[in-house]
Amino acid sequence: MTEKRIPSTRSTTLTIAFVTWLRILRRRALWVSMVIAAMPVLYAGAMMSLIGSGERSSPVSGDLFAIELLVLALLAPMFVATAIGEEVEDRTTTYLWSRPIARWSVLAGKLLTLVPLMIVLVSASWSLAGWIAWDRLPPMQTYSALAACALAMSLVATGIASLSPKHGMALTIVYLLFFDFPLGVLPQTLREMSLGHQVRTLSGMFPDESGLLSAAISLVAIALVWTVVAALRVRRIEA
Amino acid sequence: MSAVVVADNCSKWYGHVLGISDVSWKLGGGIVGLLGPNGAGKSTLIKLMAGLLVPSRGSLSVFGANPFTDIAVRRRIGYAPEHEKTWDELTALELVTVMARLAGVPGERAKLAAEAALEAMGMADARNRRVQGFSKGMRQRTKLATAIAHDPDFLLLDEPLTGVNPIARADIVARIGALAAAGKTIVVSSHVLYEIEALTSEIVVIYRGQVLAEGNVYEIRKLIDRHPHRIRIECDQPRVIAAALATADHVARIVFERQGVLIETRDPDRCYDQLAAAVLESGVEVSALSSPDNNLGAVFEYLTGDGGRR
Repeated sequence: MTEKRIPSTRSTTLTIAFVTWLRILRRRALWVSMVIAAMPVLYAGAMMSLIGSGERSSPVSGDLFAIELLVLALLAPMFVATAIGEEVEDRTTTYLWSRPIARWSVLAGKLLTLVPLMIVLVSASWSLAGWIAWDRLPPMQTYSALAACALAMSLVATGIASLSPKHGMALTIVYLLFFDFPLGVLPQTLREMSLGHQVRTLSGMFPDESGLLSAAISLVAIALVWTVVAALRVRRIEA
Repeated sequence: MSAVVVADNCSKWYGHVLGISDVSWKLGGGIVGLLGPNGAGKSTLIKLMAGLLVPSRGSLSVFGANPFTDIAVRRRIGYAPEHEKTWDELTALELVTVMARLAGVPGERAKLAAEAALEAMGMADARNRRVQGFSKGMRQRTKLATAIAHDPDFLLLDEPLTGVNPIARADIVARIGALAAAGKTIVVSSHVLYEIEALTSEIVVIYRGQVLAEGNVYEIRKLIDRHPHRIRIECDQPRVIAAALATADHVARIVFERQGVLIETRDPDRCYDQLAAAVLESGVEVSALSSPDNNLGAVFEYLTGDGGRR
């Protein structure tokens, strides 16, 4: 006779993380994401060959960081929104929701695998691109900013995918590229709502009058809003 | 015995589309077959019991708790959905182990439970193969293994025999029977009467989202048998068969068809007896014998008087 108990949230989260990892490894998405992550490296290589190795200058660094943000704006929807959306669309949620588990732990399990994976990919890409552009690794602060960006964009993708599982990936890309990023170039009060703007400030490469602490608080607030949306929505999703 | 499931004026709509309507029903135990044509509301009722849907009106409880909000009660439920989609990248053993873990079976014991469940479903040899390469029958067995691995008290099996070949079907029926013999309460849905009959004699007939009839399959058959029962005989000499039965008082009508004869009778048992005798006496070669009334459409035609048309 099997022992009957309810799985702990930790156990559920780790189990979902394990399944997510297995599925990612056995699909093409990982290879596609590597190609996307290679974009800044290719850009750095192309610029250096055009400019010449003797004139490695700062204009390239701003472009490179912007391309890294673009990479994250594609990877987060591709990994996270797809992972959530396809569970609902493929109706595999019927297996999950019929188990004695807290639904948010399914989202947490997916993020536990996908966010570190994105951080590894984008850090590797950023390191290589930096090495090509400047003959050295980029500053540590930029890595922290990219890691925070990966987490925040993943939470945005989680929120949007829980609201619209079928179109989660497309809507997240549209939100990030056509709403969030343009918001970052608007006047101060509006750009506070831009995740991309806060990440740029946190990187230290684009000093902003609002400062690091303010940028960190704004980033957490934006991510928190989407986390609450996801947590509330996932409780009501029927299978 | 206290009821496992209590539905009280339970209704479920999907927007303007009706799932089930005003269902009041109690399930005590044993195997119960949910019988109804496609779209009747069987899957909706099963999903409500599995805690996947919230009633739009009324209530439904399983072991006295709301399965949608009460996590603990879902530990006692095993559910196999009607659809085939699952995590196809995983092997059968990985899939069933993960499902057992998510149902509360701890650590290494989950793997042992998964192996036992796959063995019980005749999938031991294929356990290390990925689900994406499985046939329909293998997928059905794997689904059933995910439903039983955590040793639930209450099993919900939505169309577990659909698309399965006759040999696999007989095997799955036997395995579900073994689970019932082990004391599980089981709800099995199907739109095919003989599939349900092979599993249980207790059936609930659902149509247009409502419980139309409920009880022993023979009682429901008695209801059905009050209207003329049709028997189609495909044979080389239909006129000989027709002549042998033409004078019987229970025969209401005889219709000659392209490959045989269709007989309508008010007493199917007597008719089958006389038919067998006629075939033996005359030496007529019968190639097929079927009852169109086994098709649920005929059952609903009688029970609702509208031929199953919406």
